[in-house]
Order: sequence, then structure tokens, then C-alpha cells
Amino acid sequence: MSKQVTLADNNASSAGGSARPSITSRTVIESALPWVAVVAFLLVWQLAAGSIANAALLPPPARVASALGEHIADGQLLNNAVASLGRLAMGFIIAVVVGAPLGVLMALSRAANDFIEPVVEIIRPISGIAWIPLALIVLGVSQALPVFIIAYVAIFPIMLNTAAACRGVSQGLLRAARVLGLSRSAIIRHVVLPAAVVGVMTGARLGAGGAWLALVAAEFIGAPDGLGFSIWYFAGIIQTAEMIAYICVTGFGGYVTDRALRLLQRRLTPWSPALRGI
Amino acid sequence: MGAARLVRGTTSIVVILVAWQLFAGRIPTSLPFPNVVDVAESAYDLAASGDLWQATVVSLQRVLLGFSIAVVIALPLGLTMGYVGLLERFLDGLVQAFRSIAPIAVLPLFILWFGQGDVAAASVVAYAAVFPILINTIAGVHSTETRLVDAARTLGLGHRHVLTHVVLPGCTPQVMTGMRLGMGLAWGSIIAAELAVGAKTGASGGIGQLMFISYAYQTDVSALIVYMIVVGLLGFGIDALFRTFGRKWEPQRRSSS
Amino acid sequence: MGIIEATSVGMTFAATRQGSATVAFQDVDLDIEEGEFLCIVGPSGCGKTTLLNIIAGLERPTAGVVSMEGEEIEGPSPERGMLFQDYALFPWKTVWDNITFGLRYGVRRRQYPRRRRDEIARGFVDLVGLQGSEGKYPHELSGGMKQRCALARLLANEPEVLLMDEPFGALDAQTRLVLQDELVRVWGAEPSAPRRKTVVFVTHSIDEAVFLADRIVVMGRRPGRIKEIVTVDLPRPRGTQTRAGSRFRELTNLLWDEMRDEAIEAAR
Repeated sequence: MSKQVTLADNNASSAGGSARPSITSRTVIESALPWVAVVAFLLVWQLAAGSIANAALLPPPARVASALGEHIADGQLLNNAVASLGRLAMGFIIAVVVGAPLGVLMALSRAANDFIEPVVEIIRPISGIAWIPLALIVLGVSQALPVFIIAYVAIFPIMLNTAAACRGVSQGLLRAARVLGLSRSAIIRHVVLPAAVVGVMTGARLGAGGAWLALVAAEFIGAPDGLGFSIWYFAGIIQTAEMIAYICVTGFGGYVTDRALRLLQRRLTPWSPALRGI
Repeated sequence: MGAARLVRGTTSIVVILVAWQLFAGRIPTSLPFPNVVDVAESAYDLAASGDLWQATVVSLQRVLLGFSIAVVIALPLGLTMGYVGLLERFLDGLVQAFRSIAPIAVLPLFILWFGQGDVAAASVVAYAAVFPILINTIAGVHSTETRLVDAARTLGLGHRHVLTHVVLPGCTPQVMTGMRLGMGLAWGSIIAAELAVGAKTGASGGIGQLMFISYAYQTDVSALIVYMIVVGLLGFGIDALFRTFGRKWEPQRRSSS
Repeated sequence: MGIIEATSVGMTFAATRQGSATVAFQDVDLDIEEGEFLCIVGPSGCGKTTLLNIIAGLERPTAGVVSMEGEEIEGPSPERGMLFQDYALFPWKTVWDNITFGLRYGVRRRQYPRRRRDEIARGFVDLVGLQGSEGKYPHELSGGMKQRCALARLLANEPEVLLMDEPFGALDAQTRLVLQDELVRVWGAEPSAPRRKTVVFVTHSIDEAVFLADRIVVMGRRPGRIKEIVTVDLPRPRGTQTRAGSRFRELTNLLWDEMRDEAIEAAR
């Protein structure tokens, strides 16, 4: 069973304990530091591109930026991004609609859990990506293929974390609700379901990275457009600047997805202590 | 709990297998969809021939190579970044930027630089595994009890020895978690990479490529499903290995107080 | 001139997002004599632990200088060992490996051959009564045993000055008394040292301070500062009979009044 795996992130507080006397100017320098590193990276890239002097192997950052600009200007990039994000959203919605109720069911009924869990544990290790060829046979190169793969990847963390979160509702809380006179359905609505939302959000955030991986892989092979398709397409005709531009957009998409899910989590479950962890 | 659980679990698996056996013929696909018996026969044949084993070994070797590279990079870097706050601040932007990129997205770039062979595949694996290990190592360092570091320093340990003898053992549980997550991504990535490269040329080897061949050239759906099962089994086995290892380290988590 | 000298030492914690800058203590002047047992008592928040951390070199003061044998303290050193309230034993090391930790990995790791190291550790295992527990992990030990182990680890590292930060604060009252007795015994009977070691012992227990100390530094609050230094003239060796004596009661009463006035003052 996947408990709530803590993928700590940069929010984790810096090594605690000794509060050193800090000076304001140092704080300014510290907040500028990450940007210094980014600029340094771009500089190294520029120098490397200059010494290789082959735009097919490594175009300079400016070339990538202008390729990015062109594709933004003519709307191609937007179309591809919308296609990919639409599939991602669709896959996630399916995963939540199917996975969350199953998770709640697994938590509420021991019998349901006993029926579902072994099947899940058998299928789950088969990574979403391994389903791509079979999905190609059943669904063909289509919209449906990436959506199916994403839904498949996202459903397990959502389902299992929902079940875990609902099971985690303490006996004390349930007893308190009963003493306060709530009916069984009222308890499910007001005590169990809020816990389920915590689980759904935790699962969604855990599944997001894998979903992007699956999305890009699925679009490499099994989609008519999208960000993954574009990377693969420009790689095929060795337009490296365009390819890198699309890789960057994929990264930006991954970042935005993570931030959006974080925001949503804060909105939907402001009481959730898992805000900092995952 | 044991008996009822076992009966229920077996029931649902048997029901699924029977349903598959009965309805396989009616699944509307471009190719005839195999039933359970077809897949079992195919599994027997493939196990007898050497191809499947060879491909599995190729894939595993790539994962192992790439994963080792990831550990060699991420572990010392994570320890140092966690220990030296300024370095963490410095590299934070780059780490966030690169870890947002799905590992498979950089495959074409690696193919362009390193060719279609093992190096590109291992590089993708390394890229996939490096960030979970790095980020969990940093978090592990942060969670090391400051008292233990203080104790070691008053016992006369220099920074290097504090890192290797206090911080590293202190964050082992988190490092193991990071490795487990990284390995999961690595295994997914290698299949994706081999599939994608298989789609392009058909000359790379590995179980992912076998999957692509059975889809695209041989249209052997039974074999394809056998490969999926092998991928699942290996994924499960690798994960179980890490879980067992992780549990071994668990007692250390108990705090000193 | 003392072995450790603090001259107008102050510590101010910078303002954080949570609150404004706080003065932990200021204008602390203190001479610690070689070989003396010095206790620092005071209400929580008077900065006594911070002062100890500064002496250890774990923190740097924002004002003034702390020096040892005339040299400014700039970082931790095996010359100044420390005993922590939460023991700070390495959970992944056995009792034996904890005790030899500093000798094996510290800056003095090449000072002794392995055999000599083991002899030293063996001596301290015996001294604190941990025979038979060498192979256990910290989580298998009781609180008292953990602190014995930490004490052996501290002594095995052969520091000149022993810094102790409420080492018995987490123990039950009975174990606490036993360990106080043990500490004065060990301090008087250390095998490797020709003379007694300097001890700086932070506590909030007045009884403990009077029982252990040659001198007691009483610190006050808001801002933290030294209020008074009391000399304890109880004869050594001390033991159970010490606590029963009338002078012991006089001294504890005196210090108690001192602390109560301070608390009332601070609450005003």
C-alpha cells in the first residue's frame, strides 16, 4: 500500500536550529542566487554552442528563444500545448471520477477492498508506458490513446491515497460525529468525504510527474499532435532549436501543473498538513 | 481476516480471467485479440526461446547503468546542497527547471548527441532517477537532527566526517525513498525510450523494443501482452527489493531520544 | 585568569518573519577557573543554553568575545566536549561505536592506534557501568543508560572542558539523583586525568546545581544577564549525606529566593 510518500520539495525549511544573525544585504544576495545560477547555465550553454558551432547538434540559447517566439507567434505552439493539456486534464478527470469513488468504497467496505486490492496490486506494476503498444492496437493513433494512458497512470495514486486518507479518519472523530447525532450518510458526507478530498489531491500531485512522462511518451508514438509529438517531429527532421524549444515548453507545463495542483490543494483542503511535504 | 480475504481476492482475479477468456473474441480491434490460453501459450514459447531473456538483460543493464550514474551524481550533490544552504539556494532554480521536464522529453536530444544505443538510453534513465534521489536526499539532510550534528562537531569531527558519518546515515531512510521513487521512474523511462527508439529504427534491443516489434511488425498481440506482464513483474520485483532494503534501514529512523 | 573567559558577551537573534529581533542576553562577563565545577541556573529564556553553545563554539556571539586559554573560540573543538539533554546518541551506532565515535572520526583520529582506542573506551564503559551493553543500539537503552553512554562518549574523547546542557533534565527524579552521584564520582575518579576537569553545567534545578557545583551562576531574564555568582562551600567528596546537611538546605533556599524574585520581577 502506498502510504503518503513524502516527496519533499524546496519548501522544506533550511537546516533549522541555529538562528544565525543575518544581515539584510545577505538576504538580497541569497534571493538573487538562483538567478545567478540560471544565467551561468545559459552562459555555459552559449559558450558550448559557440565552440561546437553546429546548430544541429547544439543551437545557442538565442536560436531556441527565437524558435520559441516563432511558434508562439504563429499559434502552433498554443495549439499543441492546448492539445496536450486537454489530454492531461481529461485523463485526470477520468482518473478522479473512477478512482476516488473506488478509493472511498475500498475504505468503507472490507469486502470491496478484498475484491479490488489484489487486482490493483497485480495491474499497477505494469507502467502506463507499457500499455502504449496495446492501446495502439485497440485505440489506434488518436486523442483517446494519451487520455487512456494518463488516466491509467493517475488512477492508482488517486485511488490508493483516497482509500488511505479515508481509512485514516480517526475512530475518535467518527465517535464524536455519532455522539453529535449524525446519521451514517451525514458522517460519510461531512467526515469521510473531506478526508477523501485530501487523498485525491495527494494522489493527484503524486501522479502528476508520472502522468507527464506518460503523456510525452504516448504522444511520441501514438498521437497526431501535442507537445510530445512536436518534440519527436522536430527531432526527426533535425530542427534541434525547435525541438529544444518544445522540450522547454514541456518542462514549463510540468511546472505549471505542479503549481496549479498545489494551489488547488490549498484551496480545497486548506487544513491539510501535507501542504509542505509533497 | 486471512481466509475471507484470500477467497475474495482469488474470486475477483478468476472472474477477470474468465471474462477475458470468454469475451476476448468480441473486443473490436484491428487484430484478433488473444484470450488467456493464447497468452499462456505465447508466454511458454517466449520463455523457451532466448530472445525475451536477452532483451530483459539489455533493459536491466541500461537501467542499472543509468541508475548508478544518477546515484553517483545525486547523492553527493544532495548531501552537499542540504548541508550548505547557500549552495542549495544557488542551484534551486536550475533543479526546479530541469526536474519539471519529463525525462522522456529529453530522449531525442540524447539520441542526437549519443546515438541510439545504450548511452542515450542510460542517460534518460539517469535523468529520470536523479531528481527524486536529489530532492529526497536534501530533505533527508534537513531532517537530520541538528543535535546529532552538534554532538559530532563537539566530538571533533570536521565537516567531511560529519557528512559521511552523521548526515549520510541520518538521511538513509529518505535516500532509500528517493531511490525507490527514482527507480520506478527509471523503469518507466527505459521502456518508453526503447519503445520510441524502436518506433524510429528498430535496432536498439531491450524489452521495450520487443514490444514495439510485436506491435508494429509481427502484430503478435499475445506476445505483446506477455511482454507487458514481464515489465510488470520486473517492476514489482525491483520495487520489492527497494522496499525490503528500506525496511532494513527503518530501525535507524528511531530517534536517539 | 580562568581557562575560559567571556568578556561582555551578548547574543541577539535577528528579526525573522515570525517576530522582531530578540536579545538572548547581554553584557555577560565570566571567568571559569580550571578544574572547577560551574553550574549555570536560571529561568527558561535566560539564554543559558545559548551561552553554553557559544562556549562550545556551536554558535558565535553577536557581541563580545569568549576565549579558551587566551584564544578566541571560533568553532567546535574536541577540547570542549558536550553532553546534551536529549543525549544525541547516533541511533545507527551501537553503544560501543558511539563511545569510540570521536576517537575514530574526529580530528584526533590518528592520535591513537586502534588498540589504545579500545582500551580507552573499555575504561569508560566500565567507569559508567555499561558492561554488557556495548552491542546494544541506543533505542534499546533506558534514559539513564543513554546518558551514561553519552557521558562515556564525552569522556573517551578526552576533552579539557566538559559542557553539559541539562543532561539529566529528561530523566525521572530517582535516576536523576543516581546520575548526579555518578557524575561527581566519575568527575573525581577519572582515570586518564591527573587533575579534575573543568565542567560547565547548565540546569534549572537548584538542588542539582548546589549538589554538583563549586560556583553557581544565577542568570536573570529579559534581557538575559548574570545576576549573581554564588560560591558553594560544601565539602567534597559529596554524596547522599551532602543533601541531608543543613548547609545544603541553606544554599538551596537562598538560591530559590533569588530565582523567585527574578520570576516575579520578570512577570511584572
